[in-house]
Amino acid sequence: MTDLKEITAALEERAAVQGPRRILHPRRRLHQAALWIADTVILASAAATLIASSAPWVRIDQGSVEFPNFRTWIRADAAWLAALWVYLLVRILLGSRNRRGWMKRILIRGLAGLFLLFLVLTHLLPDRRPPERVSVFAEGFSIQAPIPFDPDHTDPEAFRAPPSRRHLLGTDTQGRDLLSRLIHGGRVSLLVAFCSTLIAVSLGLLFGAVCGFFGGLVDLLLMRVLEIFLCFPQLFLLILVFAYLPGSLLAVVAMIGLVAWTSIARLVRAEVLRIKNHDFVLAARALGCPSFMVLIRHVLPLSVGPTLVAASFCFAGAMISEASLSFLGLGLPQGTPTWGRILFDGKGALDYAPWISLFPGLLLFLAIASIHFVGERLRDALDPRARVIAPEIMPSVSISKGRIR
Amino acid sequence: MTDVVLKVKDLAVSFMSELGLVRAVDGVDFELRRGETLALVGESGCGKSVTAHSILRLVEHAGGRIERGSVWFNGADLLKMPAEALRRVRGNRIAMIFQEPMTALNPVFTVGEQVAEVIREHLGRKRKEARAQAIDLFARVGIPDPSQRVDHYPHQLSGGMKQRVMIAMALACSPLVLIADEPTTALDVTVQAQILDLIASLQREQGMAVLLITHDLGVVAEVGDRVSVMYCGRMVEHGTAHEVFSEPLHPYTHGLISSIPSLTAPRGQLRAIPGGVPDPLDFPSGCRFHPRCFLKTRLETAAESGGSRICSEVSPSLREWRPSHPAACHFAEHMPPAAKEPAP
Repeated sequence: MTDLKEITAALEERAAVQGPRRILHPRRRLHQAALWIADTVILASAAATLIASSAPWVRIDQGSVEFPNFRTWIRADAAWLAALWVYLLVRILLGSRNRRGWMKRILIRGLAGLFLLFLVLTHLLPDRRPPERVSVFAEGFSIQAPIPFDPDHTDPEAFRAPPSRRHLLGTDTQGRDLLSRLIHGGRVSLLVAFCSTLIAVSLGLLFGAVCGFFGGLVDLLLMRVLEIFLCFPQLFLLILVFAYLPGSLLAVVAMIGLVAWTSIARLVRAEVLRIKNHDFVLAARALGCPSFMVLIRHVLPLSVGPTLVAASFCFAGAMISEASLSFLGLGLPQGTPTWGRILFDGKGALDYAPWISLFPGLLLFLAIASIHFVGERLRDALDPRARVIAPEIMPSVSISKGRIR
Repeated sequence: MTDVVLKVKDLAVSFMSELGLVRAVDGVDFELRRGETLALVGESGCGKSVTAHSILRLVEHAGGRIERGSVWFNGADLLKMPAEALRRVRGNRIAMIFQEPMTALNPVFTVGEQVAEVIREHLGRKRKEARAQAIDLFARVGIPDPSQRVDHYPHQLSGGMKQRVMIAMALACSPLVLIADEPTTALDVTVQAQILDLIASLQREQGMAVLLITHDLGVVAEVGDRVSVMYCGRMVEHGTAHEVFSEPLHPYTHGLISSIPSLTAPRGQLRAIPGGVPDPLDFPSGCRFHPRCFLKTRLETAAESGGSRICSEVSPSLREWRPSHPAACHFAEHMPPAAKEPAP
C-alpha cells in the first residue's frame, strides 16, 4: 500500500498544475464513461429524425424560409423527444453534484416547459410520415441535418461503400447509410427494451410482493407457476413463439416482458420476506395500519433499490433478446431497422464488407455493456455498505489551491 | 369491577418450530386497572413479550398461534374480534412501544410522516392538520425543536429521541392502554430514567394504564404499581410492588430479587439462580421451577418428605396466600423474607 502522504503530495502537485479537480476511482471512471455512452445512444435515438434525415433543417429558396425537416415529423418523433426530456430531467435530479444550484432549477423549469410543448405536438402531428415531396438536392441555400440520409434511402452512387466522409460508417448492400440506419434502429431497441422491462418489473413487483408478504398457500401456488416459467430457456421460448406468431412490436414487447418477469419476482419476494420481519413492520401493524398499507408504505419502498438494479440488468437482457430475435429474422416485422437486423443483413457480406456487421455488433456490445455498468453504479450508490473505495487508500479530500480541506 | 380496563384470562400461545411445538405462553391471567402501571417481569424467554404481542394479536404475524384464552377490552374479546375492528383498536385505544427504537421506525420516511400517518389513519385528519398535531406531540414528549425534527429521518436522531418519537406515535390517539415492551432496554441509563419519567408523567396526565414488560427489577421498583412475575410461560406471582419486593411468596421471585447486586454489601460472588432456563420444548413436569428451587431442596434436607414429590408431580395453581397476593407455589408459607435471608 502506498503511503498516504505520498498520495496527498501527488494530489497536491496535480492540483497545483491542473487546478482543483475531482479524482475518481477507476471503477467510478468506468461507470461514468458507461453513463456517457448510454446518454449518447438515448440522445441520438430520440432525436433520430433531427440528426439523420434527408430533409434539411432550414431552406431559403427565393426569399421564402422553409423548415422541411420539421414537416417530416410524426407523432412518434415528438413522443421520443418528450421521453428524452423526461430522461434528462431524471438525470439532472439524480445528479449528485450541484443539487440545489440555480442552474438546475432553471433547467428543470425549461425542460418541463419543453416537455409540455412536445406533448402538445404529439396531438398535432400526423400519424404517418408524409410522402417525400421535395428533392434532397433543391436549389437555394439550406442547412442540412448532420447525417443527410434517410435510413431507407438508397444512395445510387455507393453500394457497400466503406466508411468515408460522405457515409461515416459506410453503406450496406443496398446502398443505405449505415449510421442513419443505426441511429433509427436504436429507437426500436430502446423502445422494446424499455417497454418489456416495464412489463417485467410490474409483473415481478406484483407477484413477488404478494408471494412474499402474504405467504401461505398463495405463495406456494404462485411460486410453482413461476418455476414452470423458469423451466423454459428464455430465448428458445421466444424463438418457438415467434416461429408461429406473426411478428409485431407489441408481440415482441409483451413476450420479452413475459419471459423476463420471473427473476424480478424472485428478487422482490426475497426482499419482501427480509423486510417484513423488521420491527417497524410489526410496529406499523401495532399502530393499526391496514395490511395492504403496510405492504405499500412500509415494505415495498425499501425494496425499490434492489428492484431498480435488477431492472437495469433486465433492460440489457431485453436488448439482447430483441437483437437475437431480429438476427434470426423473427419478431419484428421485416424491414424495421433494428441493430440485430442490420447485423443479420451484413452477415452475407462479411468477406468483402465487414463494416456492415461490425458497427451494429460493436454498438450492441457497447450499449449493453454500458447499461450493465450503469446498473452496477446504481447498485454501488444504493448500497452504502458495498464500498469499493477503501477510505485509507483513496482519501476523500477535495483539493483547492493546493490545500487539503 | 369497573376499574379493570384490560383482562387477560387463561392465555395460551404456541409456536410451531422445526424442532416441535413450543408452548411459549401456557395459561396466563392478569388484569390491568385504569391509570396503574403493571410490571410484567421474568427472565428472557419466559414468554412476557409473547404475552404482550398476543394482546393485539401481533404474534399471528410472527408465526405464533393463540391456542386458547381471552383478552377482554371494553366489553369485547380482542382475540375473537374481526380483523377490521381489531385494527381500529390497535394504535387507537391500545398502543404499543417496542424494545428497539433503532429498528421500530421505518428508515425511508421522516419521523413526522410516520406520526402523522397514525393520526390520519385513526382520527381521519388531513395531511396538514396531522403534521401540526405531530409537532404538538413532539413538543409534549420533550423533543427539542419539534418543527425541525418532524422532517428528520430516523437515522438522524439518537436512540433516546427515537424512543420519544415512538412514544409520540403511541400517544397520538390518547390510548387507554399503553403496552411498553422493554422500552428502555436499548437505552443508556440516564436516558432510561428520562423515558420512564416521561411515560409516568404522560400516564398521570391522560390516566392511561401501562403494561410495562421488563426484566429490569430496578425499573419495576421505580415505576411499577403492581407486579406480575412470569416463569416458563406461566404466572407465578401477583402483587403490589411493595409486597412482592419485601415478601416474595414464590422462590423464583425470591431468586430474582436476591440476584440484584448490591452496592453496599461486601464484594463477593454474585448470586444467581442455580441451573438454566428449561428447554421450552420440554418443560419439567409439575411445578416448572422445581429443578432450580432452593425451597424444595431445603424442605428435602429438613426431611419433610412428600413435599418434594408434590413439586415434581402436581402443577401448582395461583393461590391467595395473603390477601390479593397470590402465588403459584405449594409451600409458599415456608418462604423466607427476601431481604433478610439470602437464597443458598
